[in-house]
Amino acid sequence: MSGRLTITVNDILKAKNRIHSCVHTTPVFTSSTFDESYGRKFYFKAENLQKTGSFKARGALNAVTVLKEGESPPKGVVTHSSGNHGQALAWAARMRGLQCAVVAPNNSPNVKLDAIRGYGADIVICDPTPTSRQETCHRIGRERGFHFVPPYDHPDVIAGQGTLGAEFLEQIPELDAILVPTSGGGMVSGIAIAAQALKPDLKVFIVEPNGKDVEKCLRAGERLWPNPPRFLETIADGIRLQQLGHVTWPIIRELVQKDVFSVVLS
Amino acid sequence: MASTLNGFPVTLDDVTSARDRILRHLHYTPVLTSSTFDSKYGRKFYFKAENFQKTGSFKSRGALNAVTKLVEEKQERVVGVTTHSSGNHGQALAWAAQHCGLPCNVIVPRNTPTVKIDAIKGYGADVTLCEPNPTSRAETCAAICSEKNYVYIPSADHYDVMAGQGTIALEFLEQVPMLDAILVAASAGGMVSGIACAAKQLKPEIKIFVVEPFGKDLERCLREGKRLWPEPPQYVDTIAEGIRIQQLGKLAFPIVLSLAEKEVFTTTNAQIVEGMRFAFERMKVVIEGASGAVIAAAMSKRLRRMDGRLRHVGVILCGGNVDIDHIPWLPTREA
Repeated sequence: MSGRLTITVNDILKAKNRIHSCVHTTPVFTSSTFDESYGRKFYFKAENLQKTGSFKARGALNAVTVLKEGESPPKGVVTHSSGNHGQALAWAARMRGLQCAVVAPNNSPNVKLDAIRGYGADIVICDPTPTSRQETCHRIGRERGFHFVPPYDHPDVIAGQGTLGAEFLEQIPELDAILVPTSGGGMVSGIAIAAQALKPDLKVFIVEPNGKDVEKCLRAGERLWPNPPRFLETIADGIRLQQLGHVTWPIIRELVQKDVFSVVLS
Repeated sequence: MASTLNGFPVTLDDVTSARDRILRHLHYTPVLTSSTFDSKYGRKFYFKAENFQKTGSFKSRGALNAVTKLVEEKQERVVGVTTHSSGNHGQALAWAAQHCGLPCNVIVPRNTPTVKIDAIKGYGADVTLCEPNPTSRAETCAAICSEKNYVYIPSADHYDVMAGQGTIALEFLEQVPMLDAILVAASAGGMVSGIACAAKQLKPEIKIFVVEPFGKDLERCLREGKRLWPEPPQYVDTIAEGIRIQQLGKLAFPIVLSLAEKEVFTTTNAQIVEGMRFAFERMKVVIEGASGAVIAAAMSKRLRRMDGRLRHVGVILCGGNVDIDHIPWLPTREA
């Protein structure tokens, strides 16, 4: 347990109570065709049907709710992501009556920015560099009194994503393994924490785009990625980050399977 | 009830028996909602996702009920089943027959896309090609019946098929008891007949609205109480290939006349595409044209102007069997 924030299944259960009435308990799909072709029983947890179109709504809403219920709630929240986390945070903020600003690079597709604006958030454009994103984000936070909610490296976000794992195990108690696509690692961390408490035998496996090299890092027990942080070449735009986060890394190193499924997605 | 109908040809008992026969082999499909859709269109909508059903459409319910009941009643004397359909019923019957261990022969027009023929063969049925007109389909099917002694299971005009489709309503009213209305697409009318019979017996005040492709002219027929369609039977020109039959079936017509609302929602190809796009983009579900038509009806100005007391409206997403290389708003992808 060295080196990691103690996020426990209790945090996940509290998250569930906070978000339960606003997010969907998504269905689990099966396909007898798939099972016959691939020789096991597969269960597809349909987070594509979640509010805002991805699982990110869970973590974002949990984090925003904690802020709102805290002693001095901020006027709003801010993040840098033109993707699913940006939409999720915009939606979560609206659900809790907070303002929201999303910092997006000037080359973001309009359709994504429209989706975020559709949830009532303000878009602030920055240069397409990690430095500009962070600096703009900090500036907006200071100027407007908005609190920064990162996409994965935050215990409330991780606990929110963990509700997915707890739900899945309620729906399919016989699960032996869960395959989880991974970028910063918020979702796989949350799921792994839930699984460890609720079904210790269950194996959590990371699925990564080719080039992320997580298996090498896990087997060495070290962050072997080059700096500064890079994006991978992959059509799966939700999982382009090469590095796992700093809060998520120790959780994953401790709880997730060393065998990583690496998929060529370019 | 109109004088054309004496009681319900499909009773609640028929539908609950159907359910007992088929439920464990089929999916109890989820009901999806969209707060975006509700805010935009001013009511609470509930989408019954039969696109997730076994074989990709609701047709497996009616097919499995009909085949299972046939085997129960006739036992060893049933040697096989047959039908003519290039679409969802062909697949559904092939699947149902395989499920019951019976041979199946599906007659399909020779211009049917390979992907659909492969789907039918994938369930173990034989495929016989015929000319692409209603007469050739019927004649070829009749020939198979007599040659092989197979029983013909039609896609809609059969009370056991209707009873199977009626199980959709049993589920839907369990899942959403406050439904005030159900929008359902009709081709020959098997599904709307089954749903109307079941729903009206469970909740007489519920309103069943038919959704049609432009050119079916159903509202005129319902208002005049007569089959006004030309002979011989024609296809309607619509991108929604599941609802191309112009005429309601002979058994379906009196049921629809008696139990459905006279207001029929008519949808153009452009509206059908808009309905499909909403489902794909906002709801993240794959649906075929007929389902897009029902969403289009839910989006329509006509529904907007209707009684505000229809607060909870059911939308049947009847199927999701699209050729993913031929999506209407995308350029065709050559395999």
